[in-house]
Amino acid sequence: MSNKTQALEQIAALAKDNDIALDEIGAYLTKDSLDDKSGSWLTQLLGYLGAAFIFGGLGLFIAMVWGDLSSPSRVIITYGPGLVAFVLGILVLKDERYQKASTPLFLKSAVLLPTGMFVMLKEYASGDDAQLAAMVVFGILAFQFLITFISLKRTSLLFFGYLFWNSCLGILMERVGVPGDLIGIGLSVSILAAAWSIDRTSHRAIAPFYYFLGSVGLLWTIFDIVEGFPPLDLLYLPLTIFMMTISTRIRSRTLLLVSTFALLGFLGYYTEEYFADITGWPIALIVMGFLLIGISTYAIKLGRKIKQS
Amino acid sequence: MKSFFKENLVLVAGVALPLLLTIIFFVATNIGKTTIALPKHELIFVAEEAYNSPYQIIVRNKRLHLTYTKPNKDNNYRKGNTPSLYVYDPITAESSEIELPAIGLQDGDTDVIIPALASKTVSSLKESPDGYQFSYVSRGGGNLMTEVFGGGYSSRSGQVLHKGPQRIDVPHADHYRASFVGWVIKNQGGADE
Repeated sequence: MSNKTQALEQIAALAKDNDIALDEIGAYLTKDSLDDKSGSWLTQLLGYLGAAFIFGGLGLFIAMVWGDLSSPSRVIITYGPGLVAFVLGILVLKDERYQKASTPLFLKSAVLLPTGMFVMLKEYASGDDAQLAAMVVFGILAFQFLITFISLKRTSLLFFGYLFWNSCLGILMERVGVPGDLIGIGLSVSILAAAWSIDRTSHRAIAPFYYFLGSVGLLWTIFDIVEGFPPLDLLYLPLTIFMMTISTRIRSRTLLLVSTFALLGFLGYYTEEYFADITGWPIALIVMGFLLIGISTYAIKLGRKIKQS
Repeated sequence: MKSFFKENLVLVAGVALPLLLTIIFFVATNIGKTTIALPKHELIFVAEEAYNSPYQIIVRNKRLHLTYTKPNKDNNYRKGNTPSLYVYDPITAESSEIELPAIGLQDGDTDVIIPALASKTVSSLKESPDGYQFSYVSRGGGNLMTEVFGGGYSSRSGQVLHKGPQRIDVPHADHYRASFVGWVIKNQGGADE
């Protein structure tokens, strides 16, 4: 058993014995970390600014000379840096001192690789089917990032790989004629399921993003379906409450936030749709106000419950 | 492998759901398409219809005419270039541009048969004899997911050749501004198409 595993076991045992929550450990470590780095924030800021200036300058230079570049040059200048960043991202993982650089390098490659591939298709491929081109590009990138993730287990690779996978799958569904509403529900549920699974791994840092994407997508799509169809639209209310309940079960504050906003939005829609032109409108507003207070109190309680658990 | 599926049932179900939908709709759409014959008649269309252009392509007496109306006060001084006229051949699935006769701006109102298509009998009916139409089709149902991951609104809507579930994208036809002109129903000296 490695030293790291032993240390983690000791921390877990100590936390259990002294009734210390995970958030408390995190807060303590963050505090220490901030204390340690308080003197170097300026160095870091200048470093980030410098990197942004170099990247921006290169981008502007490429844009200025784009018209004078030949097709191979255009591909090399866009795809090349993306590929180099991707390879560098893998190489820096071999040295503990530079491991932190892998995430920005993968981020850079996730932007430049698709750009380079689209440029390559524009320069060399015939036809005007941009959707097919996008599907091919995102499919290749999903494969590239997810295969590398399986080998290296880096969270950033999973984040981008899953994003490319959904882009490819969404277009594929669109092309085979899946109706838009079903694409919305199918992809959203799929993303929520993946987020739940990711949340139970060491890559949980990216789970809130996918919870957000999946829940917004699902609630948006279902609202589009039921909007303006009474009494079907009333079913949206139990759906949002169900999502709030789910958020407590899976302990996701992101899901709670999205479903609470969806519920508030729905109450606004329902009031305006059915009570706006009658004299009961002011009363409805007051009732809605009480409802909002009630819901917000309930949401805060749920949030605390999630935090405690 | 079996234990992986057992331990990651939610993940597997989540990944399988959209794939299952894709397979179901792929099969259903293709079964629907196989029962519909491919189009037989050549389609004549303008790639991008210009608003208030002095040039018009019209079908008169089953022949294709190019007309030019000299800009004046009555027609709000129409302006624009000659349109890009194409013929789509459903056999080769290619669109070829048709050369239009040169009409000088100094010319007065002009009406000429387009020489390159003079031998063709053209129908301006919206529906071809084999039941196809070239018009704007929208599958609707756009939402956040289709906009972010599905290629956006333009992929679900546009000017296409269609009959029932059969949808055929026409090369060089602008997604929104392409406009229908007619169907070639007979080549002179040849049999009905």
